[in-house]
Amino acid sequence: MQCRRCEFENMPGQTACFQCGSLLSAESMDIKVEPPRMALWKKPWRWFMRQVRATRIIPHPKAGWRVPGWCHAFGIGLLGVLLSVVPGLAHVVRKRFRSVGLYLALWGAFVFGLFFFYGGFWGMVFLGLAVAMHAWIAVHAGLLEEVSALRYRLLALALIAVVLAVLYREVGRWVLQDITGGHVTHPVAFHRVREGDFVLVRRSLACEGHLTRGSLVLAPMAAVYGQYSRGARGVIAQIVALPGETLTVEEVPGGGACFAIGGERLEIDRYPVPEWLTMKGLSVTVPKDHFFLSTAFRTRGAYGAADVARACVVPAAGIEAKAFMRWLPVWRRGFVREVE
Amino acid sequence: MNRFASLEFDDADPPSKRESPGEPVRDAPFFYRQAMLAWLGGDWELGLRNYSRALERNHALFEAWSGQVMMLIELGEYPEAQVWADKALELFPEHPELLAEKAIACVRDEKLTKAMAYSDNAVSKDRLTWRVWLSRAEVVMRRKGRLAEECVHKAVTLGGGSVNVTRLEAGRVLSMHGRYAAALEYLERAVKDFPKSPLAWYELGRCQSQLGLSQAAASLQQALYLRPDWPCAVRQMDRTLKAGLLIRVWRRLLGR
Repeated sequence: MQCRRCEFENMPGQTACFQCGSLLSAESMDIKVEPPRMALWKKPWRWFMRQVRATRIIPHPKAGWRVPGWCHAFGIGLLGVLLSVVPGLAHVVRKRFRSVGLYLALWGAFVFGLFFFYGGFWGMVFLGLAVAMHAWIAVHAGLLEEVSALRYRLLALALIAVVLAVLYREVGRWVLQDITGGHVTHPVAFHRVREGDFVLVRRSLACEGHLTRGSLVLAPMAAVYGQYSRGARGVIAQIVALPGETLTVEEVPGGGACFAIGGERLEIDRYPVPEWLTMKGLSVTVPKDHFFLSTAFRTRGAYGAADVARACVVPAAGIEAKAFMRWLPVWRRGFVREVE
Repeated sequence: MNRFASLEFDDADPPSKRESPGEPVRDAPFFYRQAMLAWLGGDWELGLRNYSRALERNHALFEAWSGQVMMLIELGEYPEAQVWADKALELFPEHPELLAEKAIACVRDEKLTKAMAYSDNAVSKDRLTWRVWLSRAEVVMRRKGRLAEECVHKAVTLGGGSVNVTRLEAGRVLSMHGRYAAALEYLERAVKDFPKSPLAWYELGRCQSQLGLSQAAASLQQALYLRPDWPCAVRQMDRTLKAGLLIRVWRRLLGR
Protein backbone atom coordinates (compact mmCIF):
# COMPACT_ATOMS: atom_id res chain seq x y z
CA MET A 1 0.00 0.00 0.00
CA GLN A 2 1.77 3.11 -1.21
CA CYS A 3 1.45 6.38 0.63
CA ARG A 4 0.20 9.10 -1.69
CA ARG A 5 2.20 11.75 0.04
CA CYS A 6 5.65 10.26 0.50
CA GLU A 7 5.24 7.28 -1.83
CA PHE A 8 6.52 4.93 0.85
CA GLU A 9 5.48 1.32 0.29
CA ASN A 10 3.70 0.24 3.47
CA MET A 11 2.68 -3.22 4.60
CA PRO A 12 -0.86 -4.20 3.62
CA GLY A 13 -3.43 -3.54 6.34
CA GLN A 14 -1.64 -0.53 7.83
CA THR A 15 -3.84 2.45 8.50
CA ALA A 16 -1.10 5.08 8.67
CA CYS A 17 2.05 5.53 6.63
CA PHE A 18 5.11 4.16 8.41
CA GLN A 19 7.27 7.00 7.11
CA CYS A 20 5.19 10.17 7.22
CA GLY A 21 2.27 9.15 9.43
CA SER A 22 -0.39 10.06 6.88
CA LEU A 23 -3.68 8.21 6.97
CA LEU A 24 -3.77 5.37 4.45
CA SER A 25 -7.07 3.78 5.22
CA ALA A 26 -9.55 4.53 7.97
CA GLU A 27 -12.26 2.01 7.41
CA SER A 28 -12.22 0.78 10.99
CA MET A 29 -11.66 4.21 12.52
CA ASP A 30 -14.42 6.41 13.84
CA ILE A 31 -13.54 9.87 12.62
CA LYS A 32 -15.73 12.94 12.80
CA VAL A 33 -15.97 14.44 9.33
CA GLU A 34 -18.32 17.37 9.95
CA PRO A 35 -16.31 20.54 10.54
CA PRO A 36 -17.24 23.03 13.27
CA ARG A 37 -19.23 26.01 12.05
CA MET A 38 -19.27 29.59 13.10
CA ALA A 39 -22.25 30.78 15.11
CA LEU A 40 -24.06 33.58 13.30
CA TRP A 41 -23.74 36.03 16.17
CA LYS A 42 -19.95 35.78 16.01
CA LYS A 43 -19.80 37.10 12.46
CA PRO A 44 -20.03 40.86 13.15
CA TRP A 45 -17.67 40.59 16.12
CA ARG A 46 -15.09 38.75 14.08
CA TRP A 47 -15.48 41.22 11.27
CA PHE A 48 -14.88 44.05 13.72
CA MET A 49 -11.80 42.40 15.20
CA ARG A 50 -10.47 41.73 11.73
CA GLN A 51 -10.87 45.40 10.85
CA VAL A 52 -9.07 46.35 14.06
CA ARG A 53 -6.21 44.05 13.15
CA ALA A 54 -6.23 45.24 9.55
CA THR A 55 -6.06 48.92 10.43
CA ARG A 56 -3.10 48.19 12.68
CA ILE A 57 -3.83 50.50 15.59
CA ILE A 58 -0.38 49.54 16.75
CA PRO A 59 1.26 48.78 13.44
CA HIS A 60 3.85 46.09 13.11
CA PRO A 61 6.75 47.01 10.84
CA LYS A 62 7.71 43.41 10.20
CA ALA A 63 4.30 42.79 8.72
CA GLY A 64 5.30 44.94 5.78
CA TRP A 65 2.89 47.78 6.39
CA ARG A 66 4.03 51.04 4.92
CA VAL A 67 3.73 52.90 8.18
CA PRO A 68 6.44 55.44 8.98
CA GLY A 69 8.90 54.19 11.56
CA TRP A 70 8.33 57.13 13.89
CA CYS A 71 4.58 56.51 13.76
CA HIS A 72 5.03 52.89 14.73
CA ALA A 73 7.50 53.76 17.47
CA PHE A 74 5.10 56.41 18.75
CA GLY A 75 2.23 53.92 18.84
CA ILE A 76 4.26 51.31 20.67
CA GLY A 77 5.76 53.93 22.96
CA LEU A 78 2.34 55.34 23.80
CA LEU A 79 1.05 51.89 24.63
CA GLY A 80 4.04 51.31 26.90
CA VAL A 81 3.53 54.67 28.66
CA LEU A 82 -0.17 53.94 29.16
CA LEU A 83 0.58 50.53 30.59
CA SER A 84 3.32 51.88 32.83
CA VAL A 85 1.12 54.49 34.52
CA VAL A 86 -0.13 51.86 36.94
CA PRO A 87 2.87 49.74 38.00
CA GLY A 88 2.10 46.08 37.48
CA LEU A 89 -0.58 46.68 34.85
CA ALA A 90 1.78 45.92 32.00
CA HIS A 91 2.76 42.69 33.76
CA VAL A 92 -0.87 41.72 34.26
CA VAL A 93 -1.50 42.34 30.57
CA ARG A 94 1.54 40.26 29.68
CA LYS A 95 0.52 37.58 32.18
CA ARG A 96 3.68 37.96 34.26
CA PHE A 97 1.77 37.81 37.49
CA ARG A 98 4.80 37.06 39.64
CA SER A 99 6.35 40.42 38.80
CA VAL A 100 3.23 42.41 39.70
CA GLY A 101 3.77 42.28 43.46
CA LEU A 102 7.45 43.16 43.14
CA TYR A 103 6.82 46.20 40.97
CA LEU A 104 3.92 47.38 43.12
CA ALA A 105 6.01 47.06 46.31
CA LEU A 106 8.94 48.90 44.73
CA TRP A 107 6.71 51.64 43.44
CA GLY A 108 5.02 51.97 46.83
CA ALA A 109 8.44 52.29 48.52
CA PHE A 110 9.59 54.93 46.05
CA VAL A 111 6.40 56.96 46.40
CA PHE A 112 6.60 56.75 50.19
CA GLY A 113 10.21 57.96 50.05
CA LEU A 114 9.18 60.72 47.67
CA PHE A 115 6.52 62.01 50.06
CA PHE A 116 8.59 61.51 53.19
CA PHE A 117 11.49 63.51 51.79
CA TYR A 118 9.37 65.83 49.66
CA GLY A 119 11.15 69.10 48.98
CA GLY A 120 14.64 67.78 49.64
CA PHE A 121 17.44 66.03 47.80
CA TRP A 122 16.30 62.55 48.77
CA GLY A 123 12.78 63.40 47.71
CA MET A 124 14.14 64.16 44.26
CA VAL A 125 16.11 60.91 44.30
CA PHE A 126 12.98 58.91 45.11
CA LEU A 127 11.03 60.85 42.50
CA GLY A 128 13.71 59.97 39.99
CA LEU A 129 13.59 56.31 41.01
CA ALA A 130 9.80 56.18 40.70
CA VAL A 131 9.93 57.85 37.30
CA ALA A 132 12.75 55.57 36.21
CA MET A 133 10.73 52.55 37.25
CA HIS A 134 7.76 53.75 35.23
CA ALA A 135 10.02 54.46 32.28
CA TRP A 136 11.56 51.01 32.61
CA ILE A 137 8.13 49.39 32.58
CA ALA A 138 7.06 51.62 29.70
CA VAL A 139 10.06 50.70 27.62
CA HIS A 140 9.85 47.02 28.50
CA ALA A 141 6.15 46.87 27.80
CA GLY A 142 6.43 48.73 24.54
CA LEU A 143 9.51 49.78 22.71
CA LEU A 144 12.09 47.23 23.81
CA GLU A 145 10.49 44.54 21.71
CA GLU A 146 10.75 46.68 18.63
CA VAL A 147 13.84 48.81 19.17
CA SER A 148 17.07 46.88 19.26
CA ALA A 149 19.83 49.50 18.89
CA LEU A 150 21.22 50.65 22.24
CA ARG A 151 21.19 54.35 21.37
CA TYR A 152 17.54 54.21 20.38
CA ARG A 153 16.71 52.35 23.56
CA LEU A 154 18.47 54.99 25.64
CA LEU A 155 16.80 57.76 23.68
CA ALA A 156 13.40 56.14 24.18
CA LEU A 157 14.11 55.67 27.88
CA ALA A 158 15.10 59.34 28.27
CA LEU A 159 12.08 60.58 26.35
CA ILE A 160 9.68 58.45 28.31
CA ALA A 161 11.34 59.51 31.57
CA VAL A 162 10.80 63.17 30.67
CA VAL A 163 7.17 62.52 29.74
CA LEU A 164 6.58 60.65 32.98
CA ALA A 165 8.36 63.28 35.10
CA VAL A 166 6.03 65.93 33.69
CA LEU A 167 3.11 63.60 34.31
CA TYR A 168 4.20 63.08 37.92
CA ARG A 169 4.53 66.83 38.46
CA GLU A 170 1.11 67.57 37.06
CA VAL A 171 -0.58 64.71 38.88
CA GLY A 172 1.14 65.76 42.12
CA ARG A 173 -0.07 69.33 41.66
CA TRP A 174 -3.58 68.15 40.95
CA VAL A 175 -3.72 65.79 43.92
CA LEU A 176 -2.13 68.26 46.38
CA GLN A 177 -3.82 71.39 45.13
CA ASP A 178 -3.97 73.01 48.59
CA ILE A 179 -0.52 72.08 49.83
CA THR A 180 2.82 73.22 48.52
CA GLY A 181 6.15 74.11 50.08
CA GLY A 182 8.88 76.68 50.28
CA HIS A 183 12.41 77.16 51.56
CA VAL A 184 13.12 79.38 54.52
CA THR A 185 15.66 82.16 53.91
CA HIS A 186 15.21 84.01 57.20
CA PRO A 187 15.65 82.01 60.44
CA VAL A 188 13.05 82.53 63.16
CA ALA A 189 14.03 81.05 66.51
CA PHE A 190 10.48 80.94 67.84
CA HIS A 191 9.32 78.78 64.92
CA ARG A 192 12.48 76.65 65.11
CA VAL A 193 13.21 77.26 61.44
CA ARG A 194 16.61 77.92 59.98
CA GLU A 195 17.87 79.05 56.65
CA GLY A 196 17.41 76.28 54.09
CA ASP A 197 14.60 74.49 55.93
CA PHE A 198 11.63 73.35 53.91
CA VAL A 199 8.16 74.13 55.25
CA LEU A 200 4.78 72.98 54.01
CA VAL A 201 2.19 75.68 53.34
CA ARG A 202 -1.54 75.57 52.78
CA ARG A 203 -3.26 77.86 50.32
CA SER A 204 -6.58 77.64 52.12
CA LEU A 205 -5.02 79.30 55.21
CA ALA A 206 -3.97 82.43 53.29
CA CYS A 207 -7.11 84.32 54.18
CA GLU A 208 -8.31 86.82 56.74
CA GLY A 209 -8.43 85.35 60.21
CA HIS A 210 -5.51 83.02 59.65
CA LEU A 211 -2.95 85.73 58.86
CA THR A 212 -1.68 87.08 62.16
CA ARG A 213 1.52 88.77 63.25
CA GLY A 214 4.39 86.32 63.28
CA SER A 215 2.85 83.89 60.76
CA LEU A 216 5.17 82.39 58.16
CA VAL A 217 3.69 82.85 54.71
CA LEU A 218 4.58 82.16 51.11
CA ALA A 219 4.48 85.34 49.09
CA PRO A 220 6.02 86.77 45.93
CA MET A 221 8.34 89.43 47.28
CA ALA A 222 9.00 92.30 44.89
CA ALA A 223 12.67 92.92 44.21
CA VAL A 224 14.65 95.86 45.54
CA TYR A 225 16.69 97.01 42.54
CA GLY A 226 15.92 93.66 40.97
CA GLN A 227 18.98 92.11 42.58
CA TYR A 228 17.40 89.65 44.98
CA SER A 229 18.60 86.12 44.77
CA ARG A 230 15.04 84.73 44.53
CA GLY A 231 13.55 87.56 42.50
CA ALA A 232 9.78 87.77 42.49
CA ARG A 233 9.19 84.08 43.07
CA GLY A 234 7.44 82.97 46.21
CA VAL A 235 9.57 82.96 49.32
CA ILE A 236 8.81 82.15 52.94
CA ALA A 237 8.49 85.41 54.89
CA GLN A 238 7.20 86.46 58.31
CA ILE A 239 4.32 88.84 58.84
CA VAL A 240 5.60 91.65 61.09
CA ALA A 241 3.16 94.51 60.66
CA LEU A 242 -0.58 94.36 60.05
CA PRO A 243 -2.66 96.79 57.93
CA GLY A 244 -2.62 100.39 59.22
CA GLU A 245 0.34 99.89 61.58
CA THR A 246 3.57 101.89 61.46
CA LEU A 247 6.73 99.81 61.64
CA THR A 248 10.13 101.14 62.62
CA VAL A 249 13.49 99.51 63.11
CA GLU A 250 15.24 100.49 66.34
CA GLU A 251 18.67 99.82 67.63
CA VAL A 252 19.00 97.53 70.62
CA PRO A 253 21.50 98.28 73.38
CA GLY A 254 24.40 95.89 73.00
CA GLY A 255 24.14 95.74 69.19
CA GLY A 256 21.53 94.56 66.73
CA ALA A 257 18.07 95.86 65.90
CA CYS A 258 14.46 95.09 66.56
CA PHE A 259 11.10 95.90 65.03
CA ALA A 260 8.80 98.34 66.77
CA ILE A 261 5.11 98.80 66.04
CA GLY A 262 3.78 102.18 67.01
CA GLY A 263 6.86 102.70 69.19
CA GLU A 264 6.40 99.39 71.02
CA ARG A 265 9.29 96.97 70.50
CA LEU A 266 8.69 93.41 69.41
CA GLU A 267 10.58 90.44 70.86
CA ILE A 268 13.71 89.71 68.88
CA ASP A 269 13.47 85.90 69.03
CA ARG A 270 9.91 86.02 67.71
CA TYR A 271 10.45 88.77 65.16
CA PRO A 272 14.12 88.76 64.18
CA VAL A 273 15.26 91.58 61.91
CA PRO A 274 17.03 90.40 58.76
CA GLU A 275 20.46 91.83 58.30
CA TRP A 276 19.60 93.89 55.26
CA LEU A 277 16.84 95.74 57.20
CA THR A 278 19.01 96.88 60.10
CA MET A 279 19.11 100.45 58.85
CA LYS A 280 18.64 103.45 61.03
CA GLY A 281 15.47 105.44 60.79
CA LEU A 282 13.50 102.92 58.76
CA SER A 283 9.82 103.72 59.15
CA VAL A 284 7.05 102.21 57.06
CA THR A 285 3.31 102.69 57.43
CA VAL A 286 1.40 99.67 56.14
CA PRO A 287 -1.61 100.60 53.98
CA LYS A 288 -5.02 98.98 54.33
CA ASP A 289 -5.23 95.36 53.06
CA HIS A 290 -1.45 95.06 53.06
CA PHE A 291 1.08 93.34 55.31
CA PHE A 292 4.73 94.03 56.09
CA LEU A 293 6.73 90.85 55.52
CA SER A 294 10.31 90.37 56.54
CA THR A 295 12.67 87.93 54.94
CA ALA A 296 16.32 87.72 54.05
CA PHE A 297 17.47 89.09 50.73
CA ARG A 298 20.83 89.53 49.19
CA THR A 299 21.04 93.11 48.04
CA ARG A 300 23.54 95.27 46.25
CA GLY A 301 24.09 99.00 46.57
CA ALA A 302 22.22 101.58 48.63
CA TYR A 303 18.50 101.56 49.24
CA GLY A 304 16.10 103.65 51.26
CA ALA A 305 12.87 103.32 53.17
CA ALA A 306 10.82 103.73 50.00
CA ASP A 307 12.57 100.72 48.45
CA VAL A 308 12.01 98.65 51.57
CA ALA A 309 8.31 99.56 51.57
CA ARG A 310 8.05 98.56 47.93
CA ALA A 311 9.78 95.25 48.58
CA CYS A 312 8.23 94.21 51.89
CA VAL A 313 4.76 95.68 51.91
CA VAL A 314 2.70 93.03 50.18
CA PRO A 315 -1.04 93.16 49.44
CA ALA A 316 -3.12 90.60 51.32
CA ALA A 317 -4.27 89.11 48.01
CA GLY A 318 -0.62 88.51 47.09
CA ILE A 319 0.00 86.16 50.00
CA GLU A 320 -0.28 82.71 48.49
CA ALA A 321 -0.23 80.37 51.43
CA LYS A 322 0.49 80.04 55.12
CA ALA A 323 3.05 77.67 56.61
CA PHE A 324 1.65 74.96 58.84
CA MET A 325 4.44 72.38 59.11
CA ARG A 326 8.20 72.19 59.29
CA TRP A 327 8.96 69.35 56.90
CA LEU A 328 12.71 69.15 56.33
CA PRO A 329 15.04 68.37 57.96
CA VAL A 330 13.21 65.38 59.27
CA TRP A 331 14.47 65.80 62.88
CA ARG A 332 12.84 69.23 63.14
CA ARG A 333 9.59 68.06 61.61
CA GLY A 334 6.54 69.41 63.43
CA PHE A 335 3.62 71.80 63.23
CA VAL A 336 4.25 75.54 63.17
CA ARG A 337 2.87 77.32 66.25
CA GLU A 338 0.98 80.58 66.17
CA VAL A 339 2.97 83.49 67.63
CA GLU A 340 -0.01 85.54 68.78
CA MET B 1 -29.91 -7.71 -23.02
CA ASN B 2 -26.97 -9.14 -21.16
CA ARG B 3 -26.60 -12.79 -21.94
CA PHE B 4 -25.59 -13.60 -18.34
CA ALA B 5 -28.39 -11.65 -16.75
CA SER B 6 -30.52 -14.68 -16.02
CA LEU B 7 -27.78 -16.72 -14.44
CA GLU B 8 -28.07 -17.20 -10.68
CA PHE B 9 -25.03 -17.31 -8.42
CA ASP B 10 -25.33 -17.90 -4.67
CA ASP B 11 -22.66 -15.41 -3.76
CA ALA B 12 -23.88 -12.71 -6.03
CA ASP B 13 -25.48 -9.61 -4.50
CA PRO B 14 -28.97 -8.81 -5.68
CA PRO B 15 -28.82 -6.02 -8.19
CA SER B 16 -29.67 -2.73 -6.53
CA LYS B 17 -31.25 0.33 -7.99
CA ARG B 18 -28.19 2.36 -7.13
CA GLU B 19 -26.00 0.36 -9.41
CA SER B 20 -28.39 0.56 -12.26
CA PRO B 21 -26.80 1.79 -15.47
CA GLY B 22 -26.90 5.56 -16.01
CA GLU B 23 -26.76 6.53 -12.36
CA PRO B 24 -23.30 7.14 -10.92
CA VAL B 25 -22.08 5.28 -7.87
CA ARG B 26 -22.26 7.60 -4.88
CA ASP B 27 -18.81 6.92 -3.57
CA ALA B 28 -16.09 9.23 -2.32
CA PRO B 29 -14.82 10.26 -5.79
CA PHE B 30 -18.39 11.05 -6.84
CA PHE B 31 -18.93 13.43 -3.94
CA TYR B 32 -15.49 14.84 -4.43
CA ARG B 33 -16.39 15.64 -8.03
CA GLN B 34 -19.65 17.17 -6.84
CA ALA B 35 -17.74 19.27 -4.37
CA MET B 36 -15.41 20.47 -7.10
CA LEU B 37 -18.40 21.37 -9.25
CA ALA B 38 -19.91 23.27 -6.35
CA TRP B 39 -16.63 25.11 -5.91
CA LEU B 40 -16.56 26.00 -9.61
CA GLY B 41 -20.07 27.28 -9.12
CA GLY B 42 -19.00 29.43 -6.18
CA ASP B 43 -21.34 27.56 -3.83
CA TRP B 44 -19.11 27.07 -0.81
CA GLU B 45 -21.81 25.60 1.43
CA LEU B 46 -22.65 22.90 -1.06
CA GLY B 47 -18.98 22.26 -1.65
CA LEU B 48 -18.39 21.81 2.06
CA ARG B 49 -21.30 19.42 2.34
CA ASN B 50 -20.04 17.34 -0.57
CA TYR B 51 -16.53 17.21 0.81
CA SER B 52 -17.98 15.96 4.09
CA ARG B 53 -19.96 13.30 2.24
CA ALA B 54 -16.84 12.26 0.40
CA LEU B 55 -15.07 11.90 3.72
CA GLU B 56 -17.91 9.85 5.14
CA ARG B 57 -17.16 7.33 2.39
CA ASN B 58 -13.40 7.54 2.64
CA HIS B 59 -11.74 9.09 5.66
CA ALA B 60 -8.34 8.83 4.03
CA LEU B 61 -9.21 11.08 1.11
CA PHE B 62 -6.81 13.91 1.72
CA GLU B 63 -8.25 16.15 -1.02
CA ALA B 64 -11.59 16.16 0.81
CA TRP B 65 -10.00 17.24 4.07
CA SER B 66 -8.11 19.94 2.27
CA GLY B 67 -11.25 20.95 0.39
CA GLN B 68 -13.22 21.25 3.63
CA VAL B 69 -10.64 23.61 5.04
CA MET B 70 -10.68 25.68 1.86
CA MET B 71 -14.46 25.86 1.88
CA LEU B 72 -14.41 27.09 5.48
CA ILE B 73 -11.92 29.74 4.43
CA GLU B 74 -14.11 30.77 1.49
CA LEU B 75 -17.05 31.03 3.89
CA GLY B 76 -15.01 33.41 6.06
CA GLU B 77 -14.87 31.01 9.01
CA TYR B 78 -11.16 31.34 9.61
CA PRO B 79 -10.85 30.08 13.19
CA GLU B 80 -12.98 27.07 12.29
CA ALA B 81 -10.78 26.48 9.24
CA GLN B 82 -7.73 26.44 11.48
CA VAL B 83 -9.37 24.04 13.92
CA TRP B 84 -10.29 21.77 11.07
CA ALA B 85 -6.84 21.99 9.53
CA ASP B 86 -5.43 20.94 12.90
CA LYS B 87 -7.83 18.00 12.91
CA ALA B 88 -6.67 17.04 9.43
CA LEU B 89 -3.05 17.45 10.51
CA GLU B 90 -3.62 14.75 13.13
CA LEU B 91 -4.39 12.36 10.28
CA PHE B 92 -1.81 13.77 7.85
CA PRO B 93 0.98 15.05 10.06
CA GLU B 94 3.03 17.98 8.84
CA HIS B 95 1.26 17.99 5.50
CA PRO B 96 2.48 21.14 3.71
CA GLU B 97 -0.86 21.77 2.05
CA LEU B 98 -2.71 21.84 5.35
CA LEU B 99 -0.08 24.15 6.80
CA ALA B 100 -0.47 26.35 3.74
CA GLU B 101 -4.22 26.44 4.26
CA LYS B 102 -3.69 27.49 7.85
CA ALA B 103 -1.50 30.27 6.53
CA ILE B 104 -4.30 31.35 4.19
CA ALA B 105 -6.81 31.30 7.05
CA CYS B 106 -4.48 33.43 9.15
CA VAL B 107 -3.67 35.92 6.43
CA ARG B 108 -7.34 36.45 5.61
CA ASP B 109 -8.05 36.83 9.33
CA GLU B 110 -5.37 39.57 9.44
CA LYS B 111 -3.00 37.52 11.59
CA LEU B 112 0.04 38.16 9.47
CA THR B 113 2.77 37.01 11.83
CA LYS B 114 1.14 33.63 12.31
CA ALA B 115 0.42 33.38 8.60
CA MET B 116 4.06 33.93 7.77
CA ALA B 117 5.10 31.30 10.33
CA TYR B 118 2.73 28.70 8.87
CA SER B 119 3.78 29.56 5.35
CA ASP B 120 7.46 29.26 6.28
CA ASN B 121 6.73 25.89 7.86
CA ALA B 122 4.81 24.70 4.80
CA VAL B 123 7.52 25.79 2.38
CA SER B 124 10.19 24.02 4.41
CA LYS B 125 8.56 20.60 3.80
CA ASP B 126 9.19 18.15 1.01
CA ARG B 127 6.90 17.49 -1.95
CA LEU B 128 5.32 20.90 -2.11
CA THR B 129 2.07 21.35 -3.99
CA TRP B 130 0.78 24.32 -5.94
CA ARG B 131 -1.43 25.24 -2.99
CA VAL B 132 1.65 25.83 -0.83
CA TRP B 133 3.11 28.30 -3.32
CA LEU B 134 -0.20 30.04 -3.83
CA SER B 135 -0.59 30.48 -0.10
CA ARG B 136 2.96 31.79 0.00
CA ALA B 137 2.07 34.26 -2.71
CA GLU B 138 -0.96 35.38 -0.74
CA VAL B 139 1.05 35.93 2.43
CA VAL B 140 3.78 37.77 0.54
CA MET B 141 1.24 39.95 -1.24
CA ARG B 142 -0.45 40.84 2.04
CA ARG B 143 2.91 41.92 3.36
CA LYS B 144 3.50 43.94 0.19
CA GLY B 145 6.40 41.73 -0.78
CA ARG B 146 7.79 41.72 -4.30
CA LEU B 147 8.16 37.97 -4.81
CA ALA B 148 4.43 37.23 -4.91
CA GLU B 149 4.16 36.81 -8.65
CA GLU B 150 7.17 34.49 -8.71
CA CYS B 151 5.37 32.33 -6.14
CA VAL B 152 2.27 32.31 -8.35
CA HIS B 153 4.33 31.27 -11.37
CA LYS B 154 5.87 28.51 -9.31
CA ALA B 155 2.43 27.33 -8.22
CA VAL B 156 1.21 27.22 -11.80
CA THR B 157 4.32 25.32 -12.81
CA LEU B 158 3.63 22.77 -10.07
CA GLY B 159 -0.02 22.54 -11.08
CA GLY B 160 0.54 19.39 -13.14
CA GLY B 161 -2.74 17.67 -13.90
CA SER B 162 -4.78 20.28 -12.11
CA VAL B 163 -3.11 23.26 -13.72
CA ASN B 164 -6.47 24.64 -14.82
CA VAL B 165 -7.65 24.73 -11.21
CA THR B 166 -4.32 26.26 -10.25
CA ARG B 167 -4.73 29.01 -12.84
CA LEU B 168 -8.19 29.83 -11.59
CA GLU B 169 -7.00 29.94 -7.99
CA ALA B 170 -3.96 31.99 -8.96
CA GLY B 171 -6.19 34.49 -10.71
CA ARG B 172 -8.47 34.68 -7.70
CA VAL B 173 -5.58 35.22 -5.31
CA LEU B 174 -4.05 37.96 -7.47
CA SER B 175 -7.40 39.63 -7.93
CA MET B 176 -8.15 39.44 -4.21
CA HIS B 177 -5.00 41.44 -3.52
CA GLY B 178 -5.65 44.05 -6.16
CA ARG B 179 -3.28 42.78 -8.87
CA TYR B 180 -5.96 42.77 -11.50
CA ALA B 181 -3.78 42.98 -14.58
CA ALA B 182 -1.79 39.91 -13.56
CA ALA B 183 -4.96 38.12 -12.48
CA LEU B 184 -6.64 38.82 -15.80
CA GLU B 185 -4.11 36.71 -17.67
CA TYR B 186 -4.84 33.66 -15.50
CA LEU B 187 -8.56 34.18 -15.39
CA GLU B 188 -8.87 34.45 -19.16
CA ARG B 189 -7.21 31.04 -19.37
CA ALA B 190 -9.45 29.80 -16.57
CA VAL B 191 -12.67 30.65 -18.40
CA LYS B 192 -11.36 28.75 -21.42
CA ASP B 193 -10.63 25.76 -19.18
CA PHE B 194 -13.94 26.03 -17.33
CA PRO B 195 -16.37 27.72 -19.65
CA LYS B 196 -19.31 26.57 -17.54
CA SER B 197 -17.89 27.79 -14.24
CA PRO B 198 -19.77 30.76 -12.79
CA LEU B 199 -16.86 31.32 -10.41
CA ALA B 200 -14.36 31.75 -13.23
CA TRP B 201 -16.64 34.14 -15.12
CA TYR B 202 -17.44 36.09 -12.00
CA GLU B 203 -13.79 36.51 -11.09
CA LEU B 204 -12.96 37.51 -14.65
CA GLY B 205 -15.81 40.01 -14.67
CA ARG B 206 -14.74 41.49 -11.36
CA CYS B 207 -11.19 41.84 -12.58
CA GLN B 208 -12.27 43.45 -15.84
CA SER B 209 -14.54 45.77 -13.92
CA GLN B 210 -11.70 46.88 -11.69
CA LEU B 211 -9.57 47.54 -14.72
CA GLY B 212 -12.35 49.55 -16.34
CA LEU B 213 -12.70 47.12 -19.24
CA SER B 214 -15.95 47.11 -21.15
CA GLN B 215 -16.09 43.28 -21.27
CA ALA B 216 -16.81 43.16 -17.53
CA ALA B 217 -20.56 43.33 -17.95
CA ALA B 218 -20.54 40.48 -20.46
CA SER B 219 -18.44 38.28 -18.19
CA LEU B 220 -20.66 38.94 -15.23
CA GLN B 221 -23.69 38.37 -17.40
CA GLN B 222 -22.24 35.00 -18.30
CA ALA B 223 -21.69 34.20 -14.62
CA LEU B 224 -25.30 35.12 -13.88
CA TYR B 225 -26.49 33.06 -16.81
CA LEU B 226 -24.69 30.02 -15.43
CA ARG B 227 -25.80 30.70 -11.87
CA PRO B 228 -28.82 32.96 -11.84
CA ASP B 229 -29.38 35.25 -8.85
CA TRP B 230 -25.90 34.67 -7.45
CA PRO B 231 -25.78 37.52 -4.92
CA CYS B 232 -22.06 38.29 -5.36
CA ALA B 233 -22.38 38.45 -9.12
CA VAL B 234 -25.55 40.54 -8.91
CA ARG B 235 -23.83 43.04 -6.63
CA GLN B 236 -20.78 43.20 -8.84
CA MET B 237 -22.95 43.64 -11.90
CA ASP B 238 -24.74 46.56 -10.24
CA ARG B 239 -21.45 48.16 -9.32
CA THR B 240 -20.11 47.67 -12.82
CA LEU B 241 -23.16 49.14 -14.48
CA LYS B 242 -23.24 52.09 -12.08
CA ALA B 243 -19.60 52.97 -12.67
CA GLY B 244 -19.54 56.09 -14.81
CA LEU B 245 -17.27 56.89 -17.69
CA LEU B 246 -14.86 58.87 -15.54
CA ILE B 247 -14.50 56.03 -13.06
CA ARG B 248 -13.87 53.57 -15.85
CA VAL B 249 -11.29 55.83 -17.45
CA TRP B 250 -9.66 56.33 -14.04
CA ARG B 251 -9.53 52.58 -13.47
CA ARG B 252 -8.25 52.03 -16.98
CA LEU B 253 -5.44 54.49 -16.38
CA LEU B 254 -4.50 53.49 -12.87
CA GLY B 255 -5.62 49.86 -12.71
CA ARG B 256 -2.83 47.41 -12.29
